[in-house]
Amino acid sequence: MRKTALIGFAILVLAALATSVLPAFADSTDPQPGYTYYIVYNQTDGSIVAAVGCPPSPAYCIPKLQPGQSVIYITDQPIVVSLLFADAHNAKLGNWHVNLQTHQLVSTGTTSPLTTSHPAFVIGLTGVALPALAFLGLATSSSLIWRRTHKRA
Amino acid sequence: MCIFENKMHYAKTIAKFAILVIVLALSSIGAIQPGRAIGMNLYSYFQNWNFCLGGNSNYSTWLYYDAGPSSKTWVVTVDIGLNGGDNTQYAHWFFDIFDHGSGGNLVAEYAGAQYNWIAQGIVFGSTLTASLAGSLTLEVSIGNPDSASQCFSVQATSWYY
Repeated sequence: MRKTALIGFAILVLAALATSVLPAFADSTDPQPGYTYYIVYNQTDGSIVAAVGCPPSPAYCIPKLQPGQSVIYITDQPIVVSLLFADAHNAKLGNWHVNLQTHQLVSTGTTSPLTTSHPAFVIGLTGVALPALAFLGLATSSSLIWRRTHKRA
Repeated sequence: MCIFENKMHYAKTIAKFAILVIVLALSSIGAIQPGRAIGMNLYSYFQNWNFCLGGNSNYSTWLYYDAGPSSKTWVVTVDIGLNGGDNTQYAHWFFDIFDHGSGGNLVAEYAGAQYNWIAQGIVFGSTLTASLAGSLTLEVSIGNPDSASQCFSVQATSWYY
């Protein structure tokens, strides 16, 4: 009974560690599930007023626009979201603007090192590979603890 | 015989003391007045927005709009901090609660000074409470006076009762 409680506690500690440490490795510029991403820009020159990551409901994700402003939703473009917010987090949102002829979001500057080299790979790494590795580690550690405890018994 | 009497005496003393304690405990419990419990309903928990503002830009938008039931008292915790960018940054902001059911009146506000000096890791926050006739509308406004862009992390948790 005592050993079972000990094993349970050890698994809980490992799970807590995994869930608290892993998010630190995931880049905060990566698109978050359920979030809505949009940019608000000036219609006169295409300059970006704000880029926003809005959490799921009940948050209200319809932007408030001032006269002369317009919005482009980019939620369905995860690589653009990643690139844009990586630049924004490095104080380089000025690298981006909206082409007023095509109404497309374009980058005019050099993007940050994180995003220039295979952004899809980076997203895949933080979104899939790291959680999968964490799960494997957790399962292996739990199994080891279980076996050691039972061996002693 | 004498030892037996002494033991009996001690036993009586302890019994008297125990009875006294029980009487006191019961009377204390009886004196407790029934309290009125307030059921708090959690509406949103630690929702996080990422606002990246262009250089010399201001942006206002709704965090919640026409949200939740009417005729409730709302308790809303909000906070703001830097998210990437400079280690320190001037910024100004305000969080406003509007009563959606009474013509959109402003009923509560948490505003930073005209320009607050924010450092990475420092979070400015407050808890706003307001009784609303209608539903909740919560607006945030952020100003970035720097020529470089800056991202801000905004959080909100809300309850009503």
